[in-house]
Amino acid sequence: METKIIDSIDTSCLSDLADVSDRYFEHLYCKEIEGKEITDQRVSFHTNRICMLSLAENHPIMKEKKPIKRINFEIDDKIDRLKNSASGKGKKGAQKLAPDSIICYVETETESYPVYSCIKGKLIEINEKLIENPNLLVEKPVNEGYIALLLPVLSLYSTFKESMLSKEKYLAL
Amino acid sequence: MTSEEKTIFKYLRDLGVCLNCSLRYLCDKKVDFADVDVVVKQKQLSEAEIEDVPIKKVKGNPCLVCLGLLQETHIDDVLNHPDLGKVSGYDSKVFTIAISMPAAILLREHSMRLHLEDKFPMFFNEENQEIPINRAWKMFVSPKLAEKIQKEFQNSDICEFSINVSTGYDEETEELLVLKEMQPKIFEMRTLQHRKYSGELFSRKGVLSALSVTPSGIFKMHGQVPPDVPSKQLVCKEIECKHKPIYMAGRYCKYSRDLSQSPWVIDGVKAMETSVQEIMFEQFCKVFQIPEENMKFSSSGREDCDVRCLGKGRPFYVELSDPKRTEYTPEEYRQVEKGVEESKLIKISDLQKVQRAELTNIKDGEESKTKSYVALCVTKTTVTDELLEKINSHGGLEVSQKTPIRVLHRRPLATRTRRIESMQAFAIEGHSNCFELHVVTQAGTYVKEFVHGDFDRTTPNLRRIIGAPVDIAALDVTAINLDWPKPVNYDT
Repeated sequence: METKIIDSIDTSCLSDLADVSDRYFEHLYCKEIEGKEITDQRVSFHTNRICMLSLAENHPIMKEKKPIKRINFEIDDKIDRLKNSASGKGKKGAQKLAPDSIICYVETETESYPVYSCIKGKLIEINEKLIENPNLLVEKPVNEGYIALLLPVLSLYSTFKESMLSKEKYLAL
Repeated sequence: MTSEEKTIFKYLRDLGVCLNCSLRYLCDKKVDFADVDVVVKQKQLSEAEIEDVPIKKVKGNPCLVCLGLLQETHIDDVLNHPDLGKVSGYDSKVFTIAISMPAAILLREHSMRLHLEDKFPMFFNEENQEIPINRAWKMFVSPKLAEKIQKEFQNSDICEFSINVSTGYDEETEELLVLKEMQPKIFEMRTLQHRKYSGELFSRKGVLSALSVTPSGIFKMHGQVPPDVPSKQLVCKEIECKHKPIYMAGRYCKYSRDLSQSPWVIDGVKAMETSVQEIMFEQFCKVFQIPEENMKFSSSGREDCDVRCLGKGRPFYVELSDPKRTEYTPEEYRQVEKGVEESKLIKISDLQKVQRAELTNIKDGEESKTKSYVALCVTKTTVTDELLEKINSHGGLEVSQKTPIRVLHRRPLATRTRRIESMQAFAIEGHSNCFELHVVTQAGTYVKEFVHGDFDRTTPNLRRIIGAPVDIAALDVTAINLDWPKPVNYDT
């Protein structure tokens, strides 16, 4: 029964194993929130319903590969996304988010683009690597360059998904 | 035997107190309630009794303190109770007993004590306490019960098998109502907050605490001192048997990549047909004749449903609550192992009974033990010797792991440091873009995430070490390095 590991699986998948990001996540795209237009964002839905935020392919920063000066997580006097603290499996004390809550501002020399939560839920973590190296956002958009992890309100989970665009539809725009 | 003791004894008997209770109030710790006739003779009490009250003696009334609990009729009541038949289902050679008695007895004992302290203040001082009723009851009931059920009586602190006798008394509530007069506040609150007290107005604890705060003057004003002769005797309502849990341990191997460890239920629907636990329980059920709801599965960590567990397997134990049989033959253990193996999905070995104290092996090992894995890793290019060397020259390392996204929905976010003790990579013939990674880690390391990096949330990770994307296609646990339970000798 103890077959070798290579003989224990269907090896046909090995020549073209999907990337971790594609294996676990469904990537959806968001161009508007409750009727208000926003600059292109991607929301990746994990099979366990955790959401990962990143910039979409056609976001000006991505498309034009604009150098990022910094990513500002201080939304206003009161809200600093870096001061989020989620404790316990219920992520108690985490900052609460509405779809139009701003997670951060991506700043270039001339412009500042807000990044929205896109869903209602809780902030689990900000990708702190972006503080040191904001250009990860452009260089590795579907891996280390993610912006944040969110825990959506589960009762509204399908509603959020339905309101967004599939990858095919988005790229066809 | 002092003359005072004789006087007290005679006085109690005259009141209608049973022989055993009368002896209890002599406060002699050496009295054996199993054979009071001898005691009566030794203490020459019969004379005292017979001399003075040969005719007046109230015979046959339920005792005004114990309500009959320490009288012969109670023994007959217990020995002839149909529930006692349950005992024969248990293979235990020893037993212990416990009594649940009406709270009215507490009230009556309290009253009697107050009365005796007034009547014989010299004798009933602080130090001289009557023998507790349940202690006398155990001595009184156990020899005859032992004879009837053919088991040996053992003290409750060491005995695993207990027989619990519950008694009921018709006048219970009626008699206790007087407490409401003595302590209106306590019991009014209890009546109002009946939910908190689950509708039970006079629990044993509640009665005891109310009595402890009631001044004797108040008690005497409202209560009956000494207690009156009851018109009814308590009866044996129910006899329950309970054996303390026993534990069976072994190691299991899992050969399926489509099998969870415990039943996996999503929104009330089973996500997988069966599980390691279910396959095991089915055989336990069949061979050991134990209902599934009495079993609890624990193991030294767990693997994902798509991970095999090979080698000597993963240590586990099953807790069996209220077992009827506690001893099983080696043949029966082997039969369970055989039945499990027929599933082809898992195998168990070294199945044996273990002591409760040994279970700490699994819990204590949690942090310290190491685990060995083989991972099938996939790259996007050809695996070169140079790439393998990057891994093989690396040796051990510490990794900092954020809770993997994969489990983040049901675990707190935290960053943990775990040690990779060693790692070695091997090329795989015929699959040029793959390699086998043999890795030994500290328990609690998420290996899948160590390989692909989990969006760089585990650092360092294999992706970084080889400087190219790498993913994991399959994972096997090959050893859980914990020497427990001891190996079973299969030769004999």
